[in-house]
Amino acid sequence: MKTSRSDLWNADQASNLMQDGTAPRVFDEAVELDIFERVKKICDESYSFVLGVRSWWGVGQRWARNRAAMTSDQRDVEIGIRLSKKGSILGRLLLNQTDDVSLRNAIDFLLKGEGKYLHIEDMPVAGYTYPPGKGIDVWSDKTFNRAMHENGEAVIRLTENAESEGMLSAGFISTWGARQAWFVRNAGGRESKGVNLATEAQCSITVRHPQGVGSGWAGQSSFEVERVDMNKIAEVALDKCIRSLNPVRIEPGRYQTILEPQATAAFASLLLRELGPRKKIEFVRGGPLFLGYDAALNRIRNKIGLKIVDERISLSHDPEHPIYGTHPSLGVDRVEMIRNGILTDLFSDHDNSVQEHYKIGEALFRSSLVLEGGNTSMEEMIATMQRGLLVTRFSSLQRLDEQSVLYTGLTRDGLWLVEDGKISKAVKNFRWTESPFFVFNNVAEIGSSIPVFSPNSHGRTPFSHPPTADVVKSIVVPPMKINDFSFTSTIDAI
Amino acid sequence: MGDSVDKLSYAGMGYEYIRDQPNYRYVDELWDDLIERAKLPVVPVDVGKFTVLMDAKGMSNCLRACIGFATEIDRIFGFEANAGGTSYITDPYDSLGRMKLGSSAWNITGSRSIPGGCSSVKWDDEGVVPPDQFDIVRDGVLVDVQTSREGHMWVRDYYERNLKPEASNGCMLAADAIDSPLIRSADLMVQGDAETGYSLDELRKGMEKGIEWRTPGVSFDFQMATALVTGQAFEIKNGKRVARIANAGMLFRTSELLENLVQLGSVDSRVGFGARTGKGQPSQAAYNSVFAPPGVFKDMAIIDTMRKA
Repeated sequence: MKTSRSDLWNADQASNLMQDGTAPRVFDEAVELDIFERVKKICDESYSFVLGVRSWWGVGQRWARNRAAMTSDQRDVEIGIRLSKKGSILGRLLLNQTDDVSLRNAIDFLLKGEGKYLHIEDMPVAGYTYPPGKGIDVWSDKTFNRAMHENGEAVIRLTENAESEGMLSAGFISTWGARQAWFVRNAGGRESKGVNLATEAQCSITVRHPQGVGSGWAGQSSFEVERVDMNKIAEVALDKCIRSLNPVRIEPGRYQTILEPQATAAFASLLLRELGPRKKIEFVRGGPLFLGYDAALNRIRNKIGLKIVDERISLSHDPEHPIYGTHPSLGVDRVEMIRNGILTDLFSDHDNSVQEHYKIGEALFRSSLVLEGGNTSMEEMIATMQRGLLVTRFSSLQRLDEQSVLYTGLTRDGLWLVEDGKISKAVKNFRWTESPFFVFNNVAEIGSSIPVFSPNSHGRTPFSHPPTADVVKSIVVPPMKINDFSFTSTIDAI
Repeated sequence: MGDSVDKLSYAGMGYEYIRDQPNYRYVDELWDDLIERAKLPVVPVDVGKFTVLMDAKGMSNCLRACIGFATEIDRIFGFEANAGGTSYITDPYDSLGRMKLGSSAWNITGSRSIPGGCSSVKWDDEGVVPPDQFDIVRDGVLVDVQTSREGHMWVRDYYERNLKPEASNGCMLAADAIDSPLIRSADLMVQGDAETGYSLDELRKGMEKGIEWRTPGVSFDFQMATALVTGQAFEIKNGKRVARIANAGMLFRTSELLENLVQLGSVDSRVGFGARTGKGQPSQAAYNSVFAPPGVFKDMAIIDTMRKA
């Protein structure tokens, strides 16, 4: 039986081969349409179906101890079929074969379910109120066309300074791209289709002292590989490692703390998680944004319209944000969840009962956030700090309480004591206990927002029905100076 | 061996795992347990050092990280530094055969041949046939690590000196055919004496005062050196559960946990718990089981997890 890979080399699709004769990294439109046409022929016209054709490619380069450790080139396809009849879903199936026999077997398998399974109430296939495939195209030709050897060559360049300083560099570079095409054929023969494109590049580096007495980290991710300054990442990671050597132990307690953007991102993500989906608040009836059931009005009350964080903070999903460069959004509007500290909106899922918020879909929820509120520089924050801590990033977050969103976690890869406006010494890592609602209500200063390291895990994204876009997560957050950040105990790990 | 595999966690089994589940009995047991627990009052946590009884699942969760992950040789050498982290075993050349991890009652083996174990295979993903069993901790001392064909060569001097077979322990595993294999922890088995030891109930009866953890979760730092246990805790008085404790946490160093062991449960009380964990860049999932009995530990620090600094 032919596999999907052999189809790529099919003589009929020779145009899909890349110029150097190798197999293409992802399908093109012709291949996707061909699969759609073949599924249409196989599937009787009395049935409706949604077909998703996702092809992805990723190249990874890993290194440790200043030497390359693993180079990979992965590519795969996922074909998803959801079959329906008269508005009821018969079944869904995922496969990675594109030949006629496999597609026919898939449809036959789904057809066997007719009359046997409970009919699942779902959106009427005839009219999607939630547009499938809506998402943001974040595509870069430079990322997609990056050659594998470029990553390999980068390892030499990125480790040489660490090696000359007697440190050990470990890191990872990845470039990835995907096409997700979707097709709908209704029982009446009406068709619709769309496609979403995504690329992502990431680079992260950890530099450690050979005896483990210091560690520094830096990273960046973006849809555009040229926005990932790998040389700068290597430089920062090495610098942090050297400055973190032989940390001293200080007493746990509450400290005024400067969170570098990577650390702020951890709390911003926790906050974002609480903003949706709306169902959680309205059906589970709990969490920090739930106000109770109003029997007189017969509705669930939530905190929309109330101040929930510092008045300087605004949080939004903004497809027109400069981090996306010149790529236009595709039917996804800017959505603001918090404006000047006031909760303005909540995420909804594609539930018909909340149609007024249908544009705020699952893809958005998973995709990006922009948190803004100030322009104080890191240097100014440090210079005006009498005594406090400077945090690179957090690790090992663990939720302690749902209602207050209390979390515990650890600092990692660089923690310094700041005294009288200067970084005075490296400090041993702490365990902390905090909540994003406490943190974002105890803000002293806010800096300018920059994109941080926020790669998505690709290649294993579950295929969703209806198909939604591969999301390239983008988190744009500022450094922040927080009052009374709670560090509860010292840890030994460096 | 006859060890039972936990009814609700992952296991290296086929459909018999589903078909042979004693579902009705399990629901009855859960129901009885809920009723019993609901009768107990809820008390605020009293912070301090206490004698602690950890059930098999809690032990499994702790040992999976502080022994299983910490002894992966690639992790020790820094190959996972940019992702999951490193290990408290910082100098393998000096530690192997010498590093006393804790009480001499600890004898922990690795294996990829345990019936029902998540990582049981005939060949690892490098084509190596793993040994039936290999000692990782013997009498409390670190005696081996989890290796691959490449990894075992890094410590071949130790193997030569100790007349151990110079071969990979067969720990390579790729999540998928499309993934590059990584060293992943084998299934772990806490060895015990078949003649002695106590069940969970017997261990509890032997406690005058203390805390019992029931199926707790545990979160380790990125060197597996310290950890926080959270979950359902009970106050024990005169061998009985007398109350549920709210917001309890147990904060410890790995060395404290392993050193402060008072009594391990019997071989019969051992249960295998499977878990899914991630490692590598790009991340890969793998499953491994830890067959552990319950255990009693002295002088473990109990904290109030809801209390900030």
